[in-house]
Amino acid sequence: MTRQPLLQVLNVHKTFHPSGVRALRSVNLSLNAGTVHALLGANGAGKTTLVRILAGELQPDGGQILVDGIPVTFRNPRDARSYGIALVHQNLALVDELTVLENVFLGREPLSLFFVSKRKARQKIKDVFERLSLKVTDERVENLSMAEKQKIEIARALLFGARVLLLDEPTAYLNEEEEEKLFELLRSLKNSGCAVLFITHDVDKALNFSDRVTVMREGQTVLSEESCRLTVQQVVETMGFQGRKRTFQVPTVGGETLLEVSNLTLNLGKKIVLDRISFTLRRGEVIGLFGLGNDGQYDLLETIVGLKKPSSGRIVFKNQEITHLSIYERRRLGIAYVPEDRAKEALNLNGSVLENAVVNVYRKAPYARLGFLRWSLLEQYTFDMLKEFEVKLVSVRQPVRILSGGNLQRLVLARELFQKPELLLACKPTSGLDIQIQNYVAEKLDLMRSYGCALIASNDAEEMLNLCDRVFIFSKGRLRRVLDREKLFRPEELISLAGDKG
Amino acid sequence: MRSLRILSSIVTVAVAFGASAAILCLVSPEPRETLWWFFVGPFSNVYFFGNMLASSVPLIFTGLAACVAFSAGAFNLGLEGQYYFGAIVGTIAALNFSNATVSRFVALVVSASAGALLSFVPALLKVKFSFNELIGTYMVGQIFVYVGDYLLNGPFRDPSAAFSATRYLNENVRLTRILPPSSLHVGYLIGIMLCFLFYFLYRYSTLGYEFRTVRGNPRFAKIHGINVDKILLIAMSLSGALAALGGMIDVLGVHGRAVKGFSHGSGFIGIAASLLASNDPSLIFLSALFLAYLDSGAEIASLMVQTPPEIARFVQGIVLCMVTAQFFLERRELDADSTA
Repeated sequence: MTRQPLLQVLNVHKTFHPSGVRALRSVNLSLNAGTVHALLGANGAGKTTLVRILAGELQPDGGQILVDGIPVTFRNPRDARSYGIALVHQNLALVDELTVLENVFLGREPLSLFFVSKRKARQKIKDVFERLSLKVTDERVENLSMAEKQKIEIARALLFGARVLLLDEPTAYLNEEEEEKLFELLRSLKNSGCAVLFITHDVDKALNFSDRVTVMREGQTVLSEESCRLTVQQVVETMGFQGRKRTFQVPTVGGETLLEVSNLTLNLGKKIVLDRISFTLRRGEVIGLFGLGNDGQYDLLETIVGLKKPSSGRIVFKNQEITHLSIYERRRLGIAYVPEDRAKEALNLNGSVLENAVVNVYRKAPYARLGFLRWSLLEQYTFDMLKEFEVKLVSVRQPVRILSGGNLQRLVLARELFQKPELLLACKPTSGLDIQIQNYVAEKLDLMRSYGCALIASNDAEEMLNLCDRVFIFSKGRLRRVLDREKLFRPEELISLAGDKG
Repeated sequence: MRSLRILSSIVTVAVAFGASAAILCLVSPEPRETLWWFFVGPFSNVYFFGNMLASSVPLIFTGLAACVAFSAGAFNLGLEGQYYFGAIVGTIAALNFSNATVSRFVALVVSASAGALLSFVPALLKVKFSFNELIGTYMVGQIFVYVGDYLLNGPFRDPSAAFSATRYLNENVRLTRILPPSSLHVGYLIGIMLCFLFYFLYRYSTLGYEFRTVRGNPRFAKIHGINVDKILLIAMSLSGALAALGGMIDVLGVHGRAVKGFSHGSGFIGIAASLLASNDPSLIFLSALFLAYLDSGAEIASLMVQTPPEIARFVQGIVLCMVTAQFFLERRELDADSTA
């Protein structure tokens, strides 16, 4: 007897208006109960669009979705939920200002005589939270780690009886250890009869942790096969690029000192975020700032670019003290910055591609004259930039929000690197990117060594090893250790070193 | 997208017409007569037509003022106070000078500065202490409406006038009339020129780009070196100055002196004018004209047939509801159409 698939997608297609981007051309997929399914594909292949359609957030232009063999139409996420389909977003959709408990029950608060009953709420979540080994309930969500937030979203889904769990790049913000735990959790969900579908870029993980793999390419499903019958090489080839790992070149260190940070301390309220940090950075160096969670590595970059005011200490760039300069003045000296949150900080999603691309140069000659912009020059500038960085789009005047996630990332990196900064400050420059673009970013950073230096903050050990010459290990705002690249071979070593609070 | 926006503005206008016609039919003893005066009256002779254009002038200025604040992502709800108080202070200052050119110049500069100050203070409170600018601008505006009333009632009241008002400005200080016998004056042309000037600045100046970027995402603007606080202060001061100039020009062009209550809610209707033009400065003189048309129609109808002039306010209310709804509808469309 063949089992009826829990969720089946037949020939679904979707075109976005007014851009005319054909996000999905022909997608076929079937999900069985009690399996974990991995969805792979390059950036812009349509993975996110597909899961958003399955969750009822977008409506397909054609094709069929079947639940238990019966055709269904989802007009909104509520419809999808009523069939037991839940989506956990890449950028988690929680209300930071509310507590865990309030978030879990948002919109479905258990009532006793018109008043929200916390006691009832607690009883209801007890089982689910135990299964997910979640302990916090009264903490405000903004104080939690990404891994915990993700669990809360999963808890939400399970509480309203989700049978199909869709996860959009669940590992993007997790470190190795948290990732391990997540996959364990997914396996236990599978054993209880759920169907799980997760999006990932990591072919290794997809093959190791899933029962079945589906590969998408340019809006089509091109491969769907049981994981055990596939090799990494096969999958990578169907995804549409060559899976070569970058060969690392030992850099020629010896340039002059560009950045000197001494005794930098940052307090936010009573919390010591950075504790007496000192180091120097020379031309040609790429240094990684590694911490398992938010251990101060991102705050250090924000302090150097001028977003946060240090309580004490000095920052000297190119022999000039910049500790008290404005962000604009620092950027003008040749500092570029890629913030952690691309959607909220690195892009103006209400603007056009052009407006987003020129934000660092619009007031410089020759682009501005007597307070007026010369749009034709700016357009040419943007055009050249996008060409060099291979960002695909129809027109620079189109709204930036219709670009795919991968293209947005490229746009951000292109904008910061195109002006050839002498110091690049970047948070997780390759997170959420497929191998092709990761290699590409690494190449760009290598090119940068000839004229500048970079600080990369991340909690992804592999990223550190791929990009950096030296790694500074941060823990709770303190610089604990400095490790040379030659002495580091495996990501696991870095993680265990960072976890060791010696 | 642009054509869709224009279409929805047309629908708004059509519904407003329909609703006002229906209400007129209900409340008027002679519906046909009333409808005719309401809709055709403003075009029936030069006098009515010119007066309608003249009454759109304050709305052009307050509409632009609202638009300037919106375009930097800020809200200025104190337009009424800035318009009223600015014009009163400007008039009082101008009364001290006998030379026409100097007097006119002083009137404009003093009123604009007073208006700018009234919106600058709440903006500064927002920037320094994160005061809510909606409440700040509104409260300061309302307070200065009453301060203006006090000035007209007390120290600067013309003793020979029957009601609270200043002395008349000299005839040669007033703005040139361009369509006698109506009260249309050169301020109308200045208003239209300002509309296009601001459109041009918004699209082509570095400051306009900064306004748009701050509106789009203030955090993004800050990270990329734009001084967000400075932009907010500039936008708010400019907004207040424009509103006050509107009041001053109305005094110089139509009233000839500051009269208690002359603002007639122009400040608040300016917000509607800006929204109706989907915050596009180059369209504001049209939306102001539309709102002035409804007002004039009601006034003429009440003059000719006994219809309550408040009917125009009712219709303006409907228009305001519709443009706000439209505003939020667009927002939703944008959100729904995003991909990644």
